[in-house]
Amino acid sequence: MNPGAVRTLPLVEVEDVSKGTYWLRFHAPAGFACDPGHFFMLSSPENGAPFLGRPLSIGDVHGERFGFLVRALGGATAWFRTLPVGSPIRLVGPLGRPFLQPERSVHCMVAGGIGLAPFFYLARRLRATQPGARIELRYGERSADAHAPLMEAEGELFDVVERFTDDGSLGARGTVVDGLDDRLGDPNAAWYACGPHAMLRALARRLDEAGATDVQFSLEERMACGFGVCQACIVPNRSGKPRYRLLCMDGPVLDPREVAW
Amino acid sequence: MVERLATTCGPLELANPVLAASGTFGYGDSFERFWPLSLLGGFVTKTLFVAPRDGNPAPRVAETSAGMLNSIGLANVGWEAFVRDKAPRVNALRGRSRMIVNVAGNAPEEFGEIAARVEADRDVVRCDAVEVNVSCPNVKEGGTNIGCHIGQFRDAVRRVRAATTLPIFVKLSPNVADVVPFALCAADEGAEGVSLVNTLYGMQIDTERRAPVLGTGSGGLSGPAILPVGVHWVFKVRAALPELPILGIGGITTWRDALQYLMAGAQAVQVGTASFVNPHACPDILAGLDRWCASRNVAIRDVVGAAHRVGEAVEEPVWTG
Ligand SMILES: Cc1cc2nc3c(=O)[nH]c(=O)nc-3n(C[C@H](O)[C@H](O)[C@H](O)COP(=O)(O)OP(=O)(O)OC[C@H]3O[C@@H](n4cnc5c(N)ncnc54)[C@H](O)[C@@H]3O)c2cc1C
Ligand SMILES: Cc1cc2nc3c(=O)[nH]c(=O)nc-3n(C[C@H](O)[C@H](O)[C@H](O)COP(=O)(O)O)c2cc1C
Ligand code: FES
Repeated sequence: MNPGAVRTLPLVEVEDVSKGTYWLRFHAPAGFACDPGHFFMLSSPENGAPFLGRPLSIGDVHGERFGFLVRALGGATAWFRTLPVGSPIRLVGPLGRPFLQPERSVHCMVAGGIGLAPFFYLARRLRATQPGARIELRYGERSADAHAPLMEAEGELFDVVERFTDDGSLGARGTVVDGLDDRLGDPNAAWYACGPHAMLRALARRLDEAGATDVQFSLEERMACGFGVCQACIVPNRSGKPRYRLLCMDGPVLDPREVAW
Repeated sequence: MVERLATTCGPLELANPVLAASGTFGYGDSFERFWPLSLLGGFVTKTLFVAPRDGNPAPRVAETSAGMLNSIGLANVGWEAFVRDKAPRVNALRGRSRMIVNVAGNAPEEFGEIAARVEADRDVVRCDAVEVNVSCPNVKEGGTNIGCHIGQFRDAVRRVRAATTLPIFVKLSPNVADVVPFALCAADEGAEGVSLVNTLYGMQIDTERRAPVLGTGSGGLSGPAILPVGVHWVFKVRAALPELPILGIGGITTWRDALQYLMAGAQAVQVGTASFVNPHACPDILAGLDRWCASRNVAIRDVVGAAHRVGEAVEEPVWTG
C-alpha cells in the first residue's frame, strides 16, 4: 500500500484482549507496507453510522496479517467490535509520520491505557534491526481488568514489562510516570510514549528535567480526514510560529519539546 | 473525460460537473496522493484572507448523525503564501480542471481588499473564477454573519465586483429564512453565479462534561444530513432565477446525490465532507454519473433543471434495486 492508499478490506478476526479492548485484524494485501507509528483512517464503506473515519495506529504487522489494538470508548470504536468477520471496512493509509528508530542500546516505551497500541510493531521492528538492544515497556492502566495480558509479547518483543495501576491492583501502584527512576538520566536510552494527554504532559516534563533528548510521543487529536485537508487536528506549537501544527501531517509522532502542553 | 459529462456554468466551461468544495480540498494539491487533479471539472480553494489566520481552538470537529460539525475558523495561509507557494504547483497539476479561488474578509471592506489582490495577481495565479464566502462573521460588527444580513451581503459583493473582472460566484448561507433574496441580490450586483449551500449552524453537547463539544460552542453542519436542504434551496433559486448559474453544494456522497442537484437546477456540483471519509468520492461520483448518462443515453446538460419540467415525458421508471 503506498502512502495514502484507499482500500476496502474484509475484517478477518476480532480478538478480545481485556475489558473493552480488542484486536481488529486484516489480511495484508499485496504491496502492503507501513512503519511503526503510522496510522490509518477506518470507516464504513456504506456511508453508514459512524460516518467519519477514525484514526487508529498500526498495532502490529506479523506474517500475512496486520491489526489494530482498539479500545471501545465511544460510537465508532464500540461499533467496530460488533462487526462480523468478513465485514468490509474502508482503510485509508498509512498516514502521518512514523517513529524514527535511532540506534540505541536501550529503547524505553511508555504506554498509558490504549496508548499501548503502537508498541508491538515498534518493538518487532527494533528487534529485527537492532537485535542486541534492550526493549523495555512500562505500561499503566487505571485498573487490573483493563491490562492487556501480553504473555507472548513479553520475552519475544519486550525484555521487560513493568505494569502499573492507579489502585495497585496489578503491578506497581501509581502511573507510569512514577516508574521511570531507574532509567531517567540514562544517556543511551531512546524514549517512546503514547497515552492520555495528562500523562504525556507529565512525562514530557519529567524527561525534560532529566535531560533526555531522544524522545518521541505519539499524540491524539480529533480528526476528520487524516491527510491534511480539514484542519481539524491542531496541536499547539511551542515556538508559536506557526501557532498550530496539524497532527495528521507533522505527527502523530512528535518531539514533546515542540508541543505547547 | 467524455463529452456527455461536459457542462457550462455561466462563463465556466467544465469538462465535467464535479468540483471539490472549499475547505475540503486544501489549495488543490492535497489529493494528488490519491488521484490526479486533472480528473475534476474544477476545485475551489480553502477560503483565503489577505493575512494568514490560525483558526479556532480545538476541538474543531465532531461527528453527528450522518454528518459532522466543524469550527475550523477559516484557518488559511493568507494570500501571499498562496500565490507564492501553492498556485504554481497547482497550476502544473490541474490540466483542464478549473481553479476557483475562494475569498473572504472580516468586514465588507476586506472583501474588496482581497478581491483587489486577486485581480492584481491574476496572471500569476491563473484562476478561472472567484468564489465569495460571505458566510463568515463580521468581526467589526461584533461577529454577525455577513451572509445573513442583506445590507452587509450587498456591500461585500459590490466591493468584490468593483475590484475584479474575473467571474464571481457568491457562496450563499442556508442560515436565513429565505435564500432566494440573497441570490437575487448577488445577481443584481453583477455576480456571474451562486454557490449553495454553505454549512448550517449546529451544536453538539457532551452530556458527561455538560458542555459543548466544539471549542467554539457552535459550528457548521455538513455531510449527508444536509443533502435535502441544499437540494431544496438550489431548486428554489433555480425556480426564481432560471438564468442564474448555480454550483450545487451540500451532503453529496454518491453520484445519485449529485444528480439530484443537477436536476434541481445546478449546472455543476461541489463535493465536500464526503472526500474526508472516502478520498475517492469525487472520481467515484464522476464514474457513476458517466455510467448513468451512458445507460440512459443522455448528456449531463440535458438533465440540468429536469425536476422543474414537470409533465414533460420521461422514461417509465425502472426498478434497479
Ligand atoms: C493518530 C491516532 C492514533 C490512534 N490510535 C488508536 C489506536 O490504535 N487504538 C485506539 O483504540 N484508539 C486510537 N486512537 C483514538 C481513537 O481514534 C478514538 O478513540 C476514536 O476516534 C474515538 O471514536 P469513537 O466514535 O469511538 O468515540 P467518540 O464517541 O467520538 O468519543 C469517545 C471519546 O473519545 C474521544 N475522542 C474522539 N475522537 C478522538 C480522537 N481522534 N483521538 C482521541 N480521542 C478521541 C472523545 O473526546 C470522547 O471522550 C488514535 C487517535 C489518533 C489521533
Ligand atoms: C471542515 C470544513 C471546512 C470548510 N471550510 C470552508 C471554507 O473555508 N470556505 C467555504 O466557503 N466553505 C467551507 N466549508 C463548507 C463546504 O465548502 C460546503 O459548503 C459544506 O461543507 C457543505 O457541503 P458538504 O456537505 O458536501 O460538505 C467547509 C466545510 C467543512 C466540513
Ligand atoms: S485530520 Fe484533517 S487536517 Fe488533520
